[in-house]
Amino acid sequence: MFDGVSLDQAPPFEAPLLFFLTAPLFAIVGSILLEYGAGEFAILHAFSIGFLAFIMVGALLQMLPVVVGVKFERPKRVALLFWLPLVGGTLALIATLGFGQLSLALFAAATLLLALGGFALVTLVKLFKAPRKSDAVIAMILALLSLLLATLLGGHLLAALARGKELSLLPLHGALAGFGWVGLLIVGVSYQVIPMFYITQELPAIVRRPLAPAIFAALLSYALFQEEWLFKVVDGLFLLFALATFWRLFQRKRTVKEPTVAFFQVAMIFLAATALYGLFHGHDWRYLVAFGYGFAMSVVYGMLYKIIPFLVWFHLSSRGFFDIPTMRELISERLAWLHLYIHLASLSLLLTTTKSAAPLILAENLLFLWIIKAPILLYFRYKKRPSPFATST
Amino acid sequence: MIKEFMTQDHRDCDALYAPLEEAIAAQAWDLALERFVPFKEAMLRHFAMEEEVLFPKMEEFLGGGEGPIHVMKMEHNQIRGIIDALGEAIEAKDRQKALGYGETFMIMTQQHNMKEEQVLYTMAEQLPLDKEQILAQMQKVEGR
Repeated sequence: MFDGVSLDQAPPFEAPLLFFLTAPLFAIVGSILLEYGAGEFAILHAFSIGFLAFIMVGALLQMLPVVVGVKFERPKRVALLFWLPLVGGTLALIATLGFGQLSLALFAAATLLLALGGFALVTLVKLFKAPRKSDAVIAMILALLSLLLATLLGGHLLAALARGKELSLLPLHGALAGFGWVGLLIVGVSYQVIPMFYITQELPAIVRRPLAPAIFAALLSYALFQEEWLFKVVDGLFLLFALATFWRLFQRKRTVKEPTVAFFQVAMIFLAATALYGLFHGHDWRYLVAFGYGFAMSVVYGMLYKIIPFLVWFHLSSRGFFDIPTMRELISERLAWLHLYIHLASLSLLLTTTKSAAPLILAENLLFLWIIKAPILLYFRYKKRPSPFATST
Repeated sequence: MIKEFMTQDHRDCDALYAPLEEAIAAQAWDLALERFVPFKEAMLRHFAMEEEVLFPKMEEFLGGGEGPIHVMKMEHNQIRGIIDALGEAIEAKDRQKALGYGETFMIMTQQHNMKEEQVLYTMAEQLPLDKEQILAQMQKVEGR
């Protein structure tokens, strides 16, 4: 009756950490590409795959065992198996799109199909077997379906590029990758983590239930009919999500001020602004920057400042170490606030003069690495020690 | 039936924690201590309902050993440890430590609750248990 269901403690920290640490490095690569004026699609993918997809694959490896009780056998090996082609594929893609290395296009397509397409397929199969599908899980399934489609379309585009053919289907690839995969995954993850981080009520069922399927349906209709107004439906739905989530955060029971909730609030404000911009102005590069950097990346930073110290504490205390610092002592709150301000500054520069944002993006991601250094070093320092459980028995 | 009841009890415990955290943040230590006592009682009572009534009934079907119920009990022990440390930090009037243990308590408990609500209680509902009897017995359990 309960095949494949496990309540095992979370997968080893190394599995998601590998992805969490690679992401800011690619953001730094992105800032350097921006500074030196490499092709815009190379810059875009340094952030969309290099930063966001790495974080999201890592977060799913971490969350799925906890949220739905599906787990990956040998999580460290699985992580490495996806990580290697994802790194190779992202670098090859940046070389292809940024430096015209068309000979690498097929290599990029193959490795990314293997990493992202493979990950989406394996995870989908596992999710379909989940005993109960909450609204969050349904949103995650639709996000992974979007990832699979976006990756296939991306592979098709790379093949066309390598053969010098016309790049049809480009808007569909972008729509599914950005708003299907990134957007729907954040919807699903928010359903799950915002109530638990901040003690908020869930979104009302009348919004929560149909939202992800409606976004996915609107995206698919857009893909099929390519009517601009269908994308405005997507905007309207994300606007609803942003406002409802912002309202829930406003009503949260935990009222202590701290930077992670501010990151989430900033994210929802930018999502609402993005949607309004799309509805009344159009879908240009500013729309993408506001969605990707303003909404998605803000959520990611806010979430990681909670998840990383928690996982360090959790894994060490599970091994019997109780003399470790608490979560709040592991992350410098002062520096996390500073990060938020730099993030807002880089965002406003990105939206106005664009290129001048590069040094701030670099600084922001170096600061991010600096802030998470303390908990990560602590984890590896304690890991080398024998567990007190082992010595006492 | 079990699932609804226990899920609601999780929410009730959350509702007791939020004002406690507020009092700690404001360094209103007498108020914090006053709110800590019923909060701790509610948490321990919830654990007792599971460990004394629900889990043994489920183990009759699932067996003991290293299974999911064992993992849940281990996490109960981790959470009990944090609650005690939180109480000590409140008595010592150490804001930073108390907020730190509070944060750790909250996320540890939330991810634990999530596993119970998504997986364990669903299992309980599907097993051929006498749910009304279990519910009645759980309601009789007292916190310590």
